[in-house]
Amino acid sequence: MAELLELEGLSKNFSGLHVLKDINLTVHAGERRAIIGPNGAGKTTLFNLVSGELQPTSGKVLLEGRDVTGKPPNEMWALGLARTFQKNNLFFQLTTYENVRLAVQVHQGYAHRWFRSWQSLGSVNEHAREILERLELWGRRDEIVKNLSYGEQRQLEVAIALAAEPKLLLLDEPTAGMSPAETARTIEMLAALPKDLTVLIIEHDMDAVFSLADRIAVLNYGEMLADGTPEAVKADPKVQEVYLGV
Amino acid sequence: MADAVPESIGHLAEAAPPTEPVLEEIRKPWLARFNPAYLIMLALLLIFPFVTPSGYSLTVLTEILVFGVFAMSLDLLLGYTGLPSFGHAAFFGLGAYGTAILSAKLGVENLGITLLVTLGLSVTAALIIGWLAIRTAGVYFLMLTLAFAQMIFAAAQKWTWLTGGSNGLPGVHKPQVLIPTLTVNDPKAFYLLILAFFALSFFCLHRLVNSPFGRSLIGIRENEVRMRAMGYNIKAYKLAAFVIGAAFGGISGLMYAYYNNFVSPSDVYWTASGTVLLMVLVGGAGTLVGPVLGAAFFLLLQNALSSMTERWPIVLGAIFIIFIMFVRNGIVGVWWQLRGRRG
Repeated sequence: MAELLELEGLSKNFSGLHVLKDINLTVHAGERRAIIGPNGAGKTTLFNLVSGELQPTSGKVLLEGRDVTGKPPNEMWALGLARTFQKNNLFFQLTTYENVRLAVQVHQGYAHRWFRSWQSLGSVNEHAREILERLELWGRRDEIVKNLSYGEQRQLEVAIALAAEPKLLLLDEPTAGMSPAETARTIEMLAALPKDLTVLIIEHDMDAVFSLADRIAVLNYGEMLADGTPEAVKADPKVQEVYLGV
Repeated sequence: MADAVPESIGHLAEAAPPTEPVLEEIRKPWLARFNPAYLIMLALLLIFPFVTPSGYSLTVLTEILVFGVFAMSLDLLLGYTGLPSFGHAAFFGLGAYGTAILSAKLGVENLGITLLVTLGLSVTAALIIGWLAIRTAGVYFLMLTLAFAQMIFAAAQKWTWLTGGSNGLPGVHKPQVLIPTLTVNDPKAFYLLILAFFALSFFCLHRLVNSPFGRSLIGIRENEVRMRAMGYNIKAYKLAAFVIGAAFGGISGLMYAYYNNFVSPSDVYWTASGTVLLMVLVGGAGTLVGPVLGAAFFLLLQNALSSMTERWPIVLGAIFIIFIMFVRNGIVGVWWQLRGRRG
């Protein structure tokens, strides 16, 4: 399998505080990689470095072998990296459909067309429909987003990320704040994502992690503690000590 | 509802058009999607000069159409893109002065030439002003657009040999249309010319706000940060909206100069920017019909009140305060509520 994402000696300091120290990580195409670790371990910071929200203090980010260190989020988005945020960041006053459609129309290069009706863009509408159906939001398409349940809004975050047809999807705690039923449904949906899509997921729900991930990386105080198959990570005494609480 | 408004401009952000049923509409041919009410309205406006008993009502209606275009052009910025311009009279003034100087000073009577020159003026100014102004947001954007408009006001005031200074510029002749011999001096013919400008502006803006581009503007108004993260070039979209708004603002200035036969610095003063802002807010920002209704409401009320009392500005002011404070989404919002379209 080809390497899709490689992190080489990635570090981040916030005014002297070492949030991430020399992180090396290789993610292969099609892999489902979970990143776990206690609060403050640096998981979201790692995402922000990869997606371009933050600049690393040192180290490199390679996407398909290409150095993309420090590229801004919109360029990373165009290169095939999409992400969701811990906190919902949506168009709350617009419809569910319009949220996804806006992401699709820019991805397909129609966003600047100014004389055609938005409704006449068949491929945009088709793709928006496909994504909403996949995330079970099609029935809610005409609802204003602020009226959606929290869980539905989390799903919509994923839908918008998928609209860009990314190669690499970063999910920052997709089930955070969800009810157990919603969590179970979301895990099912994430498991059903296309197999060629590479997914990096930060998650606290261990059921979600162990049912979704091919490999698991464990962060602790900004350092990579372990990285391996779920079985290997579970069995790792260091991991058991600091995180799984065994 | 008020709790979830994301924008600093308060209820403006809520003026999004009501939800469209998506899929049923997609396959219809475009004309079938055009609201038939617009065509009925156009027919009524076409018949109006031939059934109205008074020349006065025709004059008032002509003025409403002029300011209707002006207000719609501002709403593209304010209501759709979320750019609170407080200097939109700059482009109205450039259009009006451009037309007046061509007509009264240079004797140009050809409508096509005048249109090209005024469009060139307002678009050039908008590229410069917009390029700087879109780098700011909220109240800074407002102050910057105001400052630029006041610079154009100062030019109108001080550049006496060209603009007539504080006396204004009289002697603007009605234009020639298509062929040199067809001058629209007759009020009915002139009304129809203004109606043609209005209808074309409405048509173009209607296509624009219902296009992917128009939808992108609404997205920027709602959540600029998210749009940028999705790969939209926010500055380019804002500048494009600013320039298009200015172009239609310039056209409304041209219409006004021909309508009034006279332009003066007060047409570029900040109160003119304030008036059109009120028209948009009272009518309903974020719609095209709203600003036109706002213009009609303002002008009719002004006419009615000023014939009743000298203190009409006080009454007008009070009515606007009530509107801004208590009537969500303006006149259009009232209509929505009556039809039960907004929960």
